[in-house]
Amino acid sequence: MDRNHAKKICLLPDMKMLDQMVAIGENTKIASHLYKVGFDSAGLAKILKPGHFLQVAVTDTYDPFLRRPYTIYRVKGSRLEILYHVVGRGSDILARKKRGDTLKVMGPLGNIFKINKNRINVVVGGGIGIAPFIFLGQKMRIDHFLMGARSKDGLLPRAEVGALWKKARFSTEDGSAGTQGFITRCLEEVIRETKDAKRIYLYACGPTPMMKAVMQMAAKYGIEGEASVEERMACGVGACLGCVAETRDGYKTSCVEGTVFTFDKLIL
Amino acid sequence: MNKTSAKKNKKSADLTVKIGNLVFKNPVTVASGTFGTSDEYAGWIKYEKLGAITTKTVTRKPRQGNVMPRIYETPAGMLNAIGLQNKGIDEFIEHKIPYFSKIKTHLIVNIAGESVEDYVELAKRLDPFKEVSAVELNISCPNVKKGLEFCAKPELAHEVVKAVKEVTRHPVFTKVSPEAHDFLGVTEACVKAGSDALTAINTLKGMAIDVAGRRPRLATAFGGLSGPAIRPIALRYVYEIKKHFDIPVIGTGGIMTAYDALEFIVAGAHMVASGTANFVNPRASMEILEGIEKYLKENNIASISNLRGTLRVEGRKEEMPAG
Repeated sequence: MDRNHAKKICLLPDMKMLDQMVAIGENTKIASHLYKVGFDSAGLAKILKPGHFLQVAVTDTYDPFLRRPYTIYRVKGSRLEILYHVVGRGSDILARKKRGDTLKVMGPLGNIFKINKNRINVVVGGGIGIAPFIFLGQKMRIDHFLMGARSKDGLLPRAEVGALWKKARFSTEDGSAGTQGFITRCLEEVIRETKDAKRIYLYACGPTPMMKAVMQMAAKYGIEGEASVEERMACGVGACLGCVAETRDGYKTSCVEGTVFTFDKLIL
Repeated sequence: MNKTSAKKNKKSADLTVKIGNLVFKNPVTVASGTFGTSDEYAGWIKYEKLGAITTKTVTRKPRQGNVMPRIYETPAGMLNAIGLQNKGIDEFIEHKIPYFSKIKTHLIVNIAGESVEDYVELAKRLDPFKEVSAVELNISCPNVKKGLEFCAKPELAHEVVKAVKEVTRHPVFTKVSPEAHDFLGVTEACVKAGSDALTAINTLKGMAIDVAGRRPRLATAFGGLSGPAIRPIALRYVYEIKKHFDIPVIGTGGIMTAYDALEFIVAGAHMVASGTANFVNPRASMEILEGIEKYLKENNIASISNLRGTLRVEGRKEEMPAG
């Protein structure tokens, strides 16, 4: 199927939400534990912002039953990219998809990252949690790009990081690349090297223990920031209340009121 | 009218459904808990096209719900243990009901309590509102303490339905549970107490386990199983209710497509509600409605009522063969 053949399923005139069948343009392994899938959607490309996610149906048979939430990794023209790793049946099916195969994608969903012009913007991604920061880097100057993973197999390769490479620091738990240990070691380095650490604004996305450690460090140094949480989701539109995150104002839906929450609100 | 347009404009079937004094423009609604309490799906479908909107359960006091994790995907469905998270009746009246004042379809408000008093109080609070068309008593939530209590014994079901009927002018629908040990007894009690319709079924209690971690997948260990996995069970219950009692039924349980919905209508359901389907396809309810309409038209069925309860069971035995 021609990749431009993507069929528009639903677009209400006054609404910006789309649920589209799209044809895969490329689906490649970019590191031994990382894959990316790209497809064209001019409609979505125009309205997506860093932090947004899509609810993706990897089959049209409701098997696996639920859609999978995937954050936007990169937008180039009308081409959208999603970064993923294989963790279960859904992502396993996705990894086997070929160019021309279809996906149903619904979005844009969730809130977005704050765009800061006059701060020292530091992004901290753990594993697959690095994904939204490539897109963020397309829309905003990033001063420090920190990426942690269990081993080098989970790190984005240089070709994917592009111009941000010279601002990048890495950590791996097994020491196979970058600093050995958790990404907070790199973060502490950055904070200590920065003259006016209060000017730092942190963006965090990754496993809960990592985000918790980042938030603790931010609190220690009096640094502001926000985190994109990852919860299991069903509906993605705030109806099922299955994905709530705990905040100082009670439970909030991570699909509509998140996925991005500021550090001062989020309780991990 | 010329020949071509006559052919094209084959008369649309009559989709209207009557339950008591309420006339629904079509038989499609949504299941409580799967559609939020106000505009959650407004970006995807036009609410007024549906026969009714059914809200997520409202309780007297705000409830923060159960701890996380609350959901888990299972074969052909999912488990949930949300725990009736909602902002309570005061907030519902102040902020949610006004949203529906301009939406020209019926609003069914689902309520739950821990005592007869709670249900009565909730029904009383909703009584003045013309935006509310019916109240649905959730006596079948498996995810909260006492959630299933009123479904546990026919006497209790009778007591709560009767008490609510006495204080409200709104029609009362009762949502029943397949977990009830004496399902038909509970059903009969609801009918005798004056329930205007029954909604069948709520979820079934289920469980999933993370083997590596030796932990239940849900924080509450058990959750309500929904989705196509429970559709055959829901269908059987709807059929059984209709076989024994003359009461309108809103059939719900794993309805994903118009075909699924038609099964329930043939079994005798007045209305059908898409539930978990809304989570995976935000337009599920609309597609079901369009599909039902198309089916009736294509099969020259003039009215949905001509299809309702037309199941033929001659030559089919309900009982399992002995041995």
